Amino acid sequence: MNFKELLLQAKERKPFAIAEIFNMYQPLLLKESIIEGSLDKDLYQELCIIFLRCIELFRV
Amino acid sequence: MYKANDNSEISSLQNQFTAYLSKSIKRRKIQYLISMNKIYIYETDIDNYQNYLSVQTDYIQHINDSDMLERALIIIKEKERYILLAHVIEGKTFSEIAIELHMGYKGVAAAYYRALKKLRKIIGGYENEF
Repeated sequence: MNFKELLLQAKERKPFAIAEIFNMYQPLLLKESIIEGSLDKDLYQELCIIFLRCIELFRV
Repeated sequence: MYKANDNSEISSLQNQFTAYLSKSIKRRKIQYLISMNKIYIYETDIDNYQNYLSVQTDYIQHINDSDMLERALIIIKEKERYILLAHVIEGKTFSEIAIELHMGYKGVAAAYYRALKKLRKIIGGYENEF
């Protein structure tokens, strides 16, 4: 399954598609959640919410 | 790997999504840092209220200012931070920094003043709140 199909499935809230895309972008989310050398779990949670919103709002 | 490198339509879509997500994440991160900064400052004030009575006011002001400045410096871009610190602390001229970073003189000057403006905005935001 290519990225476009995956994204369309994720927009329909199919858990496997969301999980697949999440696995792709998790390193980015983790990298951005590090503040002063340590992982900020609250920020990570906020960024995960933003990730889900981005999937919903992104126009394919 | 979250960025595809070949030129197909699918890769282009993936790269667009990555860019969209990165931008959203950065914006949220800045908002988060600013809100945490506010909470941190007010919580510190209340927690250390008893200690503050016995310590000189100027010293406390200095601690709070430097702490706020440190957090504000984390928020601004890395290049702007470098230019600001090189100019203010190391005393390098804009021309020297421009040669070092392969940028124009005006580019460095603009980045420096932009960084100052951002710092004022971040630090000043708390002072003007009440």
